[in-house]
Amino acid sequence: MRTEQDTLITPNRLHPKEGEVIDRATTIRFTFDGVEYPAHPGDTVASALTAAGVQVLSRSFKYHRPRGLLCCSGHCPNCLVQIGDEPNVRACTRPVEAGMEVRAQNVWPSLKRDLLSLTQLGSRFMPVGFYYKTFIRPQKLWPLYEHTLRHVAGLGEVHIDTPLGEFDKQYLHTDVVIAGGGPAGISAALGAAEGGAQVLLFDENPTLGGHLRFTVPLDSSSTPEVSKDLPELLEAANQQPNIAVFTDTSVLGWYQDNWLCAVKGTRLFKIRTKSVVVATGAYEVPLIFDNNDLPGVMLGSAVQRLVHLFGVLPGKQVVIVTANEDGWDVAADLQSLGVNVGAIVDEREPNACSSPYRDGLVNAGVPVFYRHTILEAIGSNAVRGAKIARIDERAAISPTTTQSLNCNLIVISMGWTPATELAYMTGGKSEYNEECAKILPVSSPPGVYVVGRASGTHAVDSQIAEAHQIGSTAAAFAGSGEVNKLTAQSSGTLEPRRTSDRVCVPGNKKRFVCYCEDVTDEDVELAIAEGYDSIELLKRYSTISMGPCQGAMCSMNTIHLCARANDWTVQETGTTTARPPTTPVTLGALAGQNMEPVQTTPIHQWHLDHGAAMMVAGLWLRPNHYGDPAAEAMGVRERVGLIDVSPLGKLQLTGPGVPELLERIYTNRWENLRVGRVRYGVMCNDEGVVLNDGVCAHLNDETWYMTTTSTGATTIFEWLQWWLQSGWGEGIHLTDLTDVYSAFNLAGPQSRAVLEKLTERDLASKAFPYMRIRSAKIADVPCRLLRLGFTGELSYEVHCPSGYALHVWEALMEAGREFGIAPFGVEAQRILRLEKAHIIVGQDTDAMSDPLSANMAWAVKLDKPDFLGKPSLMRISDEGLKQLLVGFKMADPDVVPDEGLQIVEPDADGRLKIIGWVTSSRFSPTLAAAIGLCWLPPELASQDGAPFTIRIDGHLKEARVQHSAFYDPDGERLRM
Amino acid sequence: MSTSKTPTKLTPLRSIAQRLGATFTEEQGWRIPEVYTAAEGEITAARERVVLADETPNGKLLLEGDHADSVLMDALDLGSLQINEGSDRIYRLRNDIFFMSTPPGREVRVQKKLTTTSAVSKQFVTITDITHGRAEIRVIGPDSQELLSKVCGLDFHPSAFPNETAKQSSLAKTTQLIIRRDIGELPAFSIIGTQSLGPYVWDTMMEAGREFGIVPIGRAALAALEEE
Ligand code: FES
Ligand code: FES
Repeated sequence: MRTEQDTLITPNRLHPKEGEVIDRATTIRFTFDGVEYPAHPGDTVASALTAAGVQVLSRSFKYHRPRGLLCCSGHCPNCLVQIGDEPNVRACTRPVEAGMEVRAQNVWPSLKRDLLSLTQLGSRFMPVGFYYKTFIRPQKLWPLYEHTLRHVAGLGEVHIDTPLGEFDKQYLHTDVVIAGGGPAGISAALGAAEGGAQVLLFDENPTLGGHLRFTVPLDSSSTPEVSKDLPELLEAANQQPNIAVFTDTSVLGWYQDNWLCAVKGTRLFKIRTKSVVVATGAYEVPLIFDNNDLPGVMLGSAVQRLVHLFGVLPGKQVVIVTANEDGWDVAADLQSLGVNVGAIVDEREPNACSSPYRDGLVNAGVPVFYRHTILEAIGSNAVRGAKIARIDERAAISPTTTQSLNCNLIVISMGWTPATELAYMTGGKSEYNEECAKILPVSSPPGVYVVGRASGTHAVDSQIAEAHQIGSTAAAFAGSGEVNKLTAQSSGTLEPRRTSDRVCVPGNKKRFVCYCEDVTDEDVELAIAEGYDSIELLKRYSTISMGPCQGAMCSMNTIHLCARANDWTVQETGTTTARPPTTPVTLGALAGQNMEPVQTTPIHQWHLDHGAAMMVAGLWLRPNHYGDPAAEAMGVRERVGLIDVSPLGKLQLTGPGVPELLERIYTNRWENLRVGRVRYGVMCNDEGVVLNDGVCAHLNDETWYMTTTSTGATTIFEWLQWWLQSGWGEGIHLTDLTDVYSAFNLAGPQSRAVLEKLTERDLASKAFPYMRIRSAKIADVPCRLLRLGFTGELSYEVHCPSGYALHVWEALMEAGREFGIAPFGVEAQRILRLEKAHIIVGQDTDAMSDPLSANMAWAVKLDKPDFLGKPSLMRISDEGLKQLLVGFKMADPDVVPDEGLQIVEPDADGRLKIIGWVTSSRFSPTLAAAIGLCWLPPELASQDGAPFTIRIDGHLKEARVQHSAFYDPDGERLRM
Repeated sequence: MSTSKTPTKLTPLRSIAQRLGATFTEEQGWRIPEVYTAAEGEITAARERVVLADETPNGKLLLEGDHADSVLMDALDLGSLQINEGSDRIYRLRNDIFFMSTPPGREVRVQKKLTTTSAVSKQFVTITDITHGRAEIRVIGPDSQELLSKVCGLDFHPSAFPNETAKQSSLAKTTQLIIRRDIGELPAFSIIGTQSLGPYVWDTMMEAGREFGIVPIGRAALAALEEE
């Protein structure tokens, strides 16, 4: 319900009129910088604030000048605000909601009195590029500069404790995409859909219609008949089943093969289409003059949006500055609403004006200043007047003719520049058209079409006719319907309204070219004088067109300024490269729904239920420990433990060609591996660098079962596939069984006793020795058993079909109860393997480690005919090792060096130099010693017991080389 | 020593079903959700919106070899392998790789027969039972295409992805085999991928399907839908 009070506090709200999108029957409330304002559903934040008379919405990026609405269409930086946790929201497009908390951003202490605006006083010392020149020295002060600059300049704040938003993505596939839902876009969609194509029609506004939504016909006999087209178009689009409409959706970019990206709020669309019609319309071009950024200076289309969509008049005394008929349209529009049009300032001669509204306006007493333009917007925080002057015969300003007009709204209506970023991303070409003073697209790649104002066609009826035909051509390109010969006006038809090529009026105050980056025309001239004269260099140096609007407001004017300063033509000056995104998009939308794949084993829930602390290993979640890893390790040494090693890579190789493949990919010998046996092997790449290790079992005649490291399973599978498909695949089939089988390692002196309870297979060492594989039913489940010794104890790896995994695991735990079985995690396993000095590929080795240096010469047979990495290993062997991986024991058992610590020794000058590093280290509960593996120079590493020093927190601690395994060096326990 | 008769097989999604309060039933030795909330509601959700069902127990065989096709043809010609109309399905994934889907439990017999045929014909063809290694999630319902378009870049429109065809693709950043198997008029897709990723894929699709009112359905609802 509208109240008396609301009327009072919304002085700029007009009487209700047809076509407005607000619901006046309801009033909601929101706050801006803590002050409460009324609004109607349908209002944007900016329309509601403007209705309430608020003019200053933000402060500029560098000088903190007050800024108000300029474009009202989401294409400038002037209305960026913070809403709740969300920074950089455009107040002119964001619908207001009850209770919304809107704040000005980047101000201190307040929007009204922003002390950071004092930076203007020093603006003489902050010319374009000043930060490149100023903040490079002294280098050590950069952190301070950075900190300060980030606070002074900036765009809103993201609080670290902001709750995660919900974002997602969707893939769309279609025949034709229409980017832009104005009259041309809708008409193109109809043309394509009638041709039988599936059409996706995107528009950034909440409803279709483009400028027809707010450039309605006036109640005048000379009104051009345009808006009657809109209801017809909308109805036709609504009836057309082949058209899917996406409003509030911005097409952000075009990528190769017609792959488009669009965003609607928190959802990102990735669109594959066969053809694209760019109907993105045009941007109204601002004029550069003194104080042209003052709140109250607005583009004509912005005023019309406010008036017609929201019933809001941003000022009651209006001066219109124009150079074509558009300004007169706006004047007639405002006049028809009873607004006092204080003056029309038209830079043309009277006879150049052909507006149908001229006589009506003149007769109504509206003063018209032909051959005049604006010099300055007068005011400090908002417009209080306009200074205008005559343009003389030489097209210069004649200073003696200067006069001031009272007004609180200056409407700039100088013309349009096609919104062609998307068209240029497709590789389309453009040319400057002198006739209409616009850069227009002249060619596009096959399947890409540009229509409507984006192609330079201004008249609505021409737009509709052309776009319909181009729509059917796009459909035909996509394989639907026939190619239509263009019978209507061709794309790029010269529009009757010429855009002014006067982009800048000289003066003596600040004149902004780029509102986003606070760059003035003087900055542009200075940059060009400094040598940044090409448009691309000028852009990078001055940051013009690199702000939130991505050049929508400043690109065209910059090109003109650059052309003029260089004495080039606009065509010679060229344009900057258009790149996605066309409009700002949140990182959340680009990231989408959280999709980080996680692999879990069939025992995962059991682990959680038994208190496991999980760790991430590759994509896997694995139990790191169940509370006390040292006790878990001791349990294995003294009794029996069970670890879930399901993530181990498990590959099956079948066929007569397998032995030869194994010879090629492993560094040791394989042809003599008999059925039932298992062998450890190392794989290297061409450079002789260790890729992976594991065991491979000969299962039966032509079947081998290979295991790889847990995190290397996929890589090795793909690597082997690559070799098989590159000529080594004759007689070999490779199947990844990693997930088909789950695997558990039952380890410890009692492991045989435990397993015997669950199987009829003879487990005695004679029948089933170390490094053998057997099939057996374990707890009634057919399994593969491997006798291995990574932990250094008698142990059996039980591989069972994954559907039975929990059953087998629980059966093992139950059978082991009487022997004191306990589950152990990755941490305990790491202690146990380190006690045996077993390496872990990727932990103890890196992208430079070869097996000879990694102390695995025993697993490298250089006398084999050939294998991957052999030439490199031969060379390494000939040249001698540079480093060697060896075990070490700390002199002080309580000092466990962190992994990665440096091993140092003094050089001739007594300065410490790094000679090696620690790769693994743990306190061994079995030995009550701190042990580890490290890389050392070979001459040191080869001396068993040689002392060396590890630098720990600045202290030097002694360690000694140990050649044998720390625990059970003869390996008796694993052969029990 | 043997402790019991053949134990029950569990799918990788059982913990999720348990958490959601499903009641379970057994099918060919697999323990699968019978009903989550009420079969009626689950059927309605499948007909009107979109649902997920755990169909991991379906048999899955991989046939690899340059002559895998002739082994299949031989097996069919010789009558040793009866293709079960409407339940056994063979998809050619690569020139030399076939994927065969069977009703739960049937894969054992089919594998034996194919292995015998391949041995008799002396063709080098490897037939591997990968049933235990793959989770199979069925997405059913009118919104299933819309849901899948949020997690996968394929075009799920019937003109691009006809019924009874299979594609391998990335889905939610994992590799999956996707088979379109409509239930009558109801669009339905089987998502088959490594079982260790099953819970992640299930959760990701449930999350993506929230806006459509997605629910899980059990065997009872699935059987009713298939009977219709
Ligand atoms: S006024 Fe809002 S973006 Fe220009
Ligand atoms: S005005 Fe926005 S980038 Fe220049």
